[in-house]
Amino acid sequence: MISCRNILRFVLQDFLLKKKISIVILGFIPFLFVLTVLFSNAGKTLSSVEELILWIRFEFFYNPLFILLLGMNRNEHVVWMIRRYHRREDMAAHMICFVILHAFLFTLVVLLTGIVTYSIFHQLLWTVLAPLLPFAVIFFLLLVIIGLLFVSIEAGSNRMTASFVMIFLVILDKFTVLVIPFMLHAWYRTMPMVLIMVLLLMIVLVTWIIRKQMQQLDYF
Amino acid sequence: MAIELQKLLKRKVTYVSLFTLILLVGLAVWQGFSDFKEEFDVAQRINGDFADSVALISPSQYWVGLSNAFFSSFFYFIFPLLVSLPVVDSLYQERESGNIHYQLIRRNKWDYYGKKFLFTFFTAFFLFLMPLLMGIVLMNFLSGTWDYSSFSAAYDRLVRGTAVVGDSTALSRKKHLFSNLLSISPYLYIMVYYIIGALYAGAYATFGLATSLFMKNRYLILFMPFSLYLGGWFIFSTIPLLNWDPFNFLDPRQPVGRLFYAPFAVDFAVLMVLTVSIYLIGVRRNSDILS
Repeated sequence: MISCRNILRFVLQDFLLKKKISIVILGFIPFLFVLTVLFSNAGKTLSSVEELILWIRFEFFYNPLFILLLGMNRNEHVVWMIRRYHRREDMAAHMICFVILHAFLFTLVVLLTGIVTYSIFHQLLWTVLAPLLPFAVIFFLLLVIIGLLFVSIEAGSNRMTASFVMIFLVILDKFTVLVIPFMLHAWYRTMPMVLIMVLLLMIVLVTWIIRKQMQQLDYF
Repeated sequence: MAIELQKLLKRKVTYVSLFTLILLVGLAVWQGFSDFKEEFDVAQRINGDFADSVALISPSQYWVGLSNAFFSSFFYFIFPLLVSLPVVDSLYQERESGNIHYQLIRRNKWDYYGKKFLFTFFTAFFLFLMPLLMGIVLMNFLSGTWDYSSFSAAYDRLVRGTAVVGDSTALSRKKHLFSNLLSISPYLYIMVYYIIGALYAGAYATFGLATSLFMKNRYLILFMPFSLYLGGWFIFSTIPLLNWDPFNFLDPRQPVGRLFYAPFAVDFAVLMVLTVSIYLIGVRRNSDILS
């Protein structure tokens, strides 16, 4: 049995091996916001940090970028995984930890960029920052679910199919059911606790599915 | 080139990508056709007395790219990824497998790399064009219309201002660019847009091929054309130059204002110069592969 701390160490190790290109990809978000500050008046007209963050649309920008980051950093050397871990559950835990780390870093970059851009144009007040907390939590949980589904589809097929399916599903949702836009624009204000509970429940479910999949996976 | 073609035909991903493209086009046509039937019904009931109003609702306005169907927009969103998938990593594969050593001992370096470049360009070109042409044929087959002269005559009258239309016929059916082609025949109009789109598809695929000379991560190489397309879209949207952005001007619906002809040529030239220079630098960098 490998402890959680070791798994986290391995995930961080993998991330640091590819830190240069990860920084380039994550740096694209601040770069776009710098362009916004220089050329567009969106910063002046939008009245809250959430609106400023979502000015660049989730389904067309944040989601593909996150998928690109995940797929690129995913360790494809199976031998390396088998050397590190003895049990299949540990490998599943590695995947989940990997997704959570990336979602956390992504949310952190997005939030910091949003707050800094907002503070250039407006005064930062507590009333502005208060609804940002549930928004950040929901943004993070949403990315975790997308990442876990990505890992789950990838275990069944390959990375390219998984990326295509995840990009397609999120955009399809935008054009039909509108769950994600509602979550990010309205529900985080009206019913944050219920939403967080539902998202956590979904995460538990997908985690269980990934664990089952890992038990079936043929490594050789 | 013949060997390249054989390699392409023996890869499973070619068929996966082609199948996905055709599936997207098929769904777009199906959605567009149901939209057309609905619109045509409404137009006949409301503007039945105005022949031009009814003639302007023609199946040609629901071909892939022209309709507002979800799959049509999605095709134009995702095409750099699907079109370049079978060819963009070919240099990477040959480098990893060691085949490039075998090739370069027996052939001229420039011959090998030049043919690779051309082959990638034209494969992406035809992968983009073929499903869309199938979409036109499918739509015409579904609606049973092959001759659009009544539509182009009505459109011609609409542009000249002599068309007799009902109140609910939107004047926004007028196109800003290539309008004279649409008044000759919708086939000409859509072919111009499809061929320009195919040229851009080739340019994106070769950009991916050029950057693959510098990268070791296969996933990143496969995503490179799509990243360029999307990245360009966001950068152009943030600095408000929407009419200079391929994502907007490749769309036959002409969804943004202030469109003009220069961006088609200028963007393509810039993209190709960038691609070729990256490719040449990459080839020079990898030239001592045998040492």
